Amino acid sequence: MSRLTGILEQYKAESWKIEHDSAMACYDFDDWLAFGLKCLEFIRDKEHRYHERLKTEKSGADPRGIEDIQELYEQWYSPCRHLLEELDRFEKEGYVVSNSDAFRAACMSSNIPGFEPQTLQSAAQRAHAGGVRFAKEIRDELQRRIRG
Amino acid sequence: MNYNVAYEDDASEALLRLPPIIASKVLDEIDKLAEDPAGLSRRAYFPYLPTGQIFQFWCEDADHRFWISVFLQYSVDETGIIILAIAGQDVPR
Repeated sequence: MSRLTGILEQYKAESWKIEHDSAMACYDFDDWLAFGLKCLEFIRDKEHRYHERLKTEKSGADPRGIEDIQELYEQWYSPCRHLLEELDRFEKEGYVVSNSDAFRAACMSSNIPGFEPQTLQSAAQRAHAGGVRFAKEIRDELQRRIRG
Repeated sequence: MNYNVAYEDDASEALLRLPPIIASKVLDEIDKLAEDPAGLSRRAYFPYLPTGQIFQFWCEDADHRFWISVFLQYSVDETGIIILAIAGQDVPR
């Protein structure tokens, strides 16, 4: 895990160094997004393989590996906001960035099922409009379900 | 100071879909969270709502092991927390 963490640390650090510079060829930036997408793909593959191992190797896979994978995702997401800002600037200047759609979609994806940004935004709006329940109600409902 | 806890409707449904013993333990953990949300949760990272917090922990019973993630926000008056999402990843024992 540490080697991958090291690569992602470098990806993160290099991403923050990207500052908009008209002299910087757009294709360099596009390549950087492609590299970022490959890193994400690798993390997702790693997560998939990890879950497969958990299913098949009863004692061979460390269940706490899920926490390490969570950290990898957080490292990956860390420079996304900055890269999205740079992407917007390039496009406003008329550059075509071939990885733009894929990168934007990746940035808005969630590594935690059910935590998609749009889902959370809608939940926040409903909650502020009063769509909430309190713990006692939920415990009572749970008791009813347990009793069957 | 204990914060009041409110559960957004979909979050409460997600909680109730967990195995009952696990769901009960998650409620207990969220009660503990209400005692110290700043200490037990951490700021949400991009791409999640920047005003949110994430609380993650393991929850087990005799048959199951879940990695639980809770997304929350402070209420506007900052006397309570609102649970906006609960996700449980089943990790086979």
